[in-house]
Amino acid sequence: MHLQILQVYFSDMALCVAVVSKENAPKYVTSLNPEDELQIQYEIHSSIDFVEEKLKTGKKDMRDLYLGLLYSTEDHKIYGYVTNTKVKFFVVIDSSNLLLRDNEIRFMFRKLHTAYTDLMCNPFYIPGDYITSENFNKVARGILTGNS
Amino acid sequence: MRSSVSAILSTPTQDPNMSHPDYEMTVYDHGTLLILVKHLGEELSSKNFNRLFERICRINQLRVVDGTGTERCVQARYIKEYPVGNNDWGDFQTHRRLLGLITVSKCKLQVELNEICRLHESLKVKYQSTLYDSRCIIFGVNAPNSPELSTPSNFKSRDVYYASDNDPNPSIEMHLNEFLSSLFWVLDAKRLEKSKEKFDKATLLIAPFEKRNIIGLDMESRANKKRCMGRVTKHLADLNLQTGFLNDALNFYQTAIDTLRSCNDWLWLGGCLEGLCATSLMILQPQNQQTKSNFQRNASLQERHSRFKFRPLSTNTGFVSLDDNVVRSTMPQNLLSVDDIYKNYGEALKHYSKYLNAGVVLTEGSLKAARIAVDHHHFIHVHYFLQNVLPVNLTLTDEEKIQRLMKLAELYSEIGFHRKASFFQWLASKRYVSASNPHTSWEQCYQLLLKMLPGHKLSLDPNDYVTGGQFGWPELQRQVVNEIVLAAKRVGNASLATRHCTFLLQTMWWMMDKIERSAYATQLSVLSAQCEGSPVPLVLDNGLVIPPANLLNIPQPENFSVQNLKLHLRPHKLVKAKEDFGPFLFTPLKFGSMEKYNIKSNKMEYVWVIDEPCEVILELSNPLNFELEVTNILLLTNGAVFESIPFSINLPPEISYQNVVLTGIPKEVGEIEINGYSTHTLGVKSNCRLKNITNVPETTYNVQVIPSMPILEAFILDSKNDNISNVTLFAGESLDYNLKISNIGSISIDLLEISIESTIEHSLKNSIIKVDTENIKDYLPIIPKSEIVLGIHLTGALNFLSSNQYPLAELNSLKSSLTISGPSSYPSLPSPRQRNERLSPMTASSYRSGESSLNSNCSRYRSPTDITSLKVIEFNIKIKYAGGEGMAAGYCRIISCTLSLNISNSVLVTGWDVLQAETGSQFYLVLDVVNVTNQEMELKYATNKSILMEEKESYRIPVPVDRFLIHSLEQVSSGEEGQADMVSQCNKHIAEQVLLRWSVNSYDDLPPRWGVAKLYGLTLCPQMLDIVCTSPIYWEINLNEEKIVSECDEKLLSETSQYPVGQQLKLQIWVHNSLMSPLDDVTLELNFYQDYLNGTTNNQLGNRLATTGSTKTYTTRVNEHDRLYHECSVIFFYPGQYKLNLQCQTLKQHIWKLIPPLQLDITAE
Repeated sequence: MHLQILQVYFSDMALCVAVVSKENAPKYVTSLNPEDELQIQYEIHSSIDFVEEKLKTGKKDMRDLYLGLLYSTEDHKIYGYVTNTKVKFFVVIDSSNLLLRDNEIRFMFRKLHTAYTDLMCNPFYIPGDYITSENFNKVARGILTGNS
Repeated sequence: MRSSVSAILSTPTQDPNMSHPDYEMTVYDHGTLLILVKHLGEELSSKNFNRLFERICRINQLRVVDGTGTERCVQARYIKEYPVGNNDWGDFQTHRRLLGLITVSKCKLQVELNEICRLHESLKVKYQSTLYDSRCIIFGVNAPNSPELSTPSNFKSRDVYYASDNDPNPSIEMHLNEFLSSLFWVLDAKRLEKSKEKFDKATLLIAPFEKRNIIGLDMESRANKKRCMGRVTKHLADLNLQTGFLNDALNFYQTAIDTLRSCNDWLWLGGCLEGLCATSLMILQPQNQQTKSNFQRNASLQERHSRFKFRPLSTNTGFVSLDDNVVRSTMPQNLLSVDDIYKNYGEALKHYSKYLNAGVVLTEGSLKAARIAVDHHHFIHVHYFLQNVLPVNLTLTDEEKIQRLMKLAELYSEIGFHRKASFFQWLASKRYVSASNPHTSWEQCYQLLLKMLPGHKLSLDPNDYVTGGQFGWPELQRQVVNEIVLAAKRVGNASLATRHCTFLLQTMWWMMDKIERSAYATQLSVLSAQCEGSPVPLVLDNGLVIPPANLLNIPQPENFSVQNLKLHLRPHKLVKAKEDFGPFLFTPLKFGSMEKYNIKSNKMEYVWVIDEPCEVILELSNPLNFELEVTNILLLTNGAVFESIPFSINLPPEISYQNVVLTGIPKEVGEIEINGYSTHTLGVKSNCRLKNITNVPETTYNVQVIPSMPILEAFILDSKNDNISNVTLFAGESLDYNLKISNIGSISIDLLEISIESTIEHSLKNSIIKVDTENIKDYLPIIPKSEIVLGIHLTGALNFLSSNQYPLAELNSLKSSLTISGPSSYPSLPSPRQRNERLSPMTASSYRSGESSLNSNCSRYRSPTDITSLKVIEFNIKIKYAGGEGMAAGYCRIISCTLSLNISNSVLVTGWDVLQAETGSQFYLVLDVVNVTNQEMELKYATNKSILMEEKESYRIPVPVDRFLIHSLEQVSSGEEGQADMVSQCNKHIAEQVLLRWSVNSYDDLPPRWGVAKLYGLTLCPQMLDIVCTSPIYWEINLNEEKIVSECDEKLLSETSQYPVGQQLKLQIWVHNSLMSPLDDVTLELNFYQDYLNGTTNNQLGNRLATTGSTKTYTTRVNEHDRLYHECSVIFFYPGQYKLNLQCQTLKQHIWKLIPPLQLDITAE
């Protein structure tokens, strides 16, 4: 019973998950609804500037990789996270989704970061390539659907 | 959240009046006097009006000294349009009040003047509530050199007249200063008036939308009183700010904030906070100090150009540093620092956002705050402030929405957030063409889309594009370009649409899949149907240049190879550079190799000839799923003039590696640089440069073009003038052909050299083929369209000896018939095995000495039946020729005719031996011959002697041959060398002597073919040599003092002389050495025997005769022309016929006999 409630709670957690390289080129994008993917991609793209600015203006304390809410529109909220190697993770959620709190978003990013670290450990993955790893995809899709 | 709060605090109905935000507003505008400058009438051109407006705008500051002696700074803000609704907010923020009005117009007639005056007055009425003063500037009347007209009676405004709108009249500035100061004094008076009022008696100031809310409010309540007081204080602060009392304003704002905060008057509190921020900023950084530095942040777009970014860390340029204690001390205590300004502004905006009707104030406030942050380069704050703008719910027309988006984009790009800027530009572009927009403008949309390219790290120049998605967001880039194509198409500019679509196909090819590629290609062909694309820059009306784009991938080039001229047309250097035949040295050290590798020459090793077609092979693939018609494929060259010949091809769907031969003709001597090719496909002309094609490693190919050269043609013709290249000859046969050389070019040939190349050995080649080149010089020069004919002689030189020689052991059966005397007198043949052993070294050496190639072929004859195999020899007749300018430049051409010659065996000698003939001057060469042709053959082997041979049949023929005169040799030595020398001499002798003339009847009516077989290379053992050669000695014999044999003279007839039995016969024997050299170790031996003429001889005559003296003698040396003398006697006991065999052994193994043996008939007495 408890599990079921959790399922409902976590369903449709995020709309889109994206990984952007340190050169600001997309390395992985997956979204829940293909029809609004382009719009979301535009929004993520436009949020990169802000992330760059944040990195430049030098947060002294780089221990917190979570950047928080980057941009919100009528439909979407975009959250950012940046690794120490300046690889950016983006999670887009529905603006009307009021159930998700900061901690949940942080948890998503942590999961994503772990998956990314695992990917980097794979000797067959060339850093900088588009991410096609099945495991990573599984994690990312899990974040989208909340069934992780 | 925000909307819910605003719904509570204000009525949901919108006030339509205040809904036009001024996006240009800055915080400094809080301290300005607002003046409307209006253009009236049609007479004045808007260009002139704008010029004048700019002039007016410059007079925006005025310093006046008031009664107390303090200098006051008056600032003005001029605008062209002002909605009355905004004016109504003047109570809320006094800088929104329109205080002054200036109209500008021009007229000539009274009617026009009247109309202008009317309009001016009506404007005054429109802004009546706030207007203090107005000016009406009119050009063209009531001035010197212009008509005098009078204003209507109801015109009460101050009118200023000028003659011409073009003439810059300095008095305008003066008038404006006066006007400005008049406004200021009125305002200052108002301020004084307000400041003297009792705050508690003040009426409630309200924002326009609050009118409804106050109905029913208890105006006398304590809270309301407080609110009233707070608002008035704020109003006073505003006035102080406008009239230049900044410090007072600061204090009043502070008071008002405290008051209003306590009574939760959020909107006015927001206004106060904003005013406080504005005042603080004006004190911290007066507007005239504000540097207008267009500080362009190093945008991330430029990152890839400049890796090392420089960005000043101090962000407060032109700004009074707060850290400076001295400055700090002079500042008011309640002054806000920049960070506090952000904080307070943020709070103000938060309060504004609680009111649905305060949208304009909120929007303007956000932009104002953002501008402060921009000036201080606090980009993150800019972002936070701007983020508030878009969600503000305002009823705006599409045009205004676009304006808002554009303003956001502008601010974002100002701080280097190009991605953000392009995002808003994208939204704006969509708004321009949205279905709800009644004024759809694709043109505007297109222009906006072009502007957003930098944000996506795109440029319209394909050369700037980096494939692979390392920069920018590939998916969005494609989307943007796609939208540009669409917009250009909708604008109706087909050439632009084609260009953009070509760009899309060129640069983003890598990210498309097969179907998309075909779809885009189809789209392009539809677009280009309206306007053909060509690789030239397009210039837009606004001066933007769109660089050319090329279809590099349609068709996709796979390979590009520049071709040498055809083999027979290739120019060669007349004088060959010295070839390096030295040893090949290798060193792993590379001295100075770095420089060498950098200067890599793309120059081809070969040359092209002027005016002669040359080729480049291009391999193309069609990546599309429909048939691709590619026309006009041309080579692109630089340097020397080159005429490229267009080529067209239809590429079937998805075909790969289709060869296309591009031809062209060099028209000038020099160097041609081939740097690409051009195509025309899908209605687009493209220049595909090699540097852009990844499949081709080189960026250019350079080919030298040399001056013109002659061309000739050569054929080998037979007697019927048929061109031949294949000749079959029987061994020993000879044929003649002609070599026809014709000059088919237009340049006469001055040099002609003919050489023959083949794999066979030189001397053999000369014996097989011969070209009459002796008088070749006489033919030169060969003028164009003429020809010469040279003879070619072919001989079927082939070894007639089969490699399967086998000993003629059975010849022994013939022996008896041919020999006359007993077996011991005959040089015995060695046993087959013995003979093979002896011959083998010699055979090998003789084979090696020249005809190796033939003999190697011969060696294939394993069995006697395999002897019909023929030999094929390829001859390459090389004709080297030159002439004209090409020859002067040091080039020649080489044409070669190949002649393949099949030589088949005719007669094959499979075995041979020698036999003594009946006479001493001749011997028989016994040959086993085989007719290896397929026809019957007649073989004539001696005078009057011929034999008909069936095909493949072996025959044995005796050929009488004159013996080799051994004394013709200068020296006969007993050594090995002498032996070999003698053998070769004998061989030569036999080859010269024996001519086997064979003839074969052809199948057709052709004349019979014939040839002569010569027996070179017969191997002879020493015993055979003795027969082949004449004896080196002469015999001279006296019997009983009577000369019976003397070979020195003419041959005596050997009469059988009769001698009585029992009588002593005295034999005197002289052995003459006829050689030029001495003979060593000469042994003479006499041997009597009886021949029964039935094949048996009897050598055992011990009891039939007796000899006196030795029958054997030895001497160590017989000198040349000397002789050996021996004497002995013999007595025969019985009558009968006896024979005497005289043999002389010398040179170790040679035995020479007296031939025929001496015959003695002994008769009974």
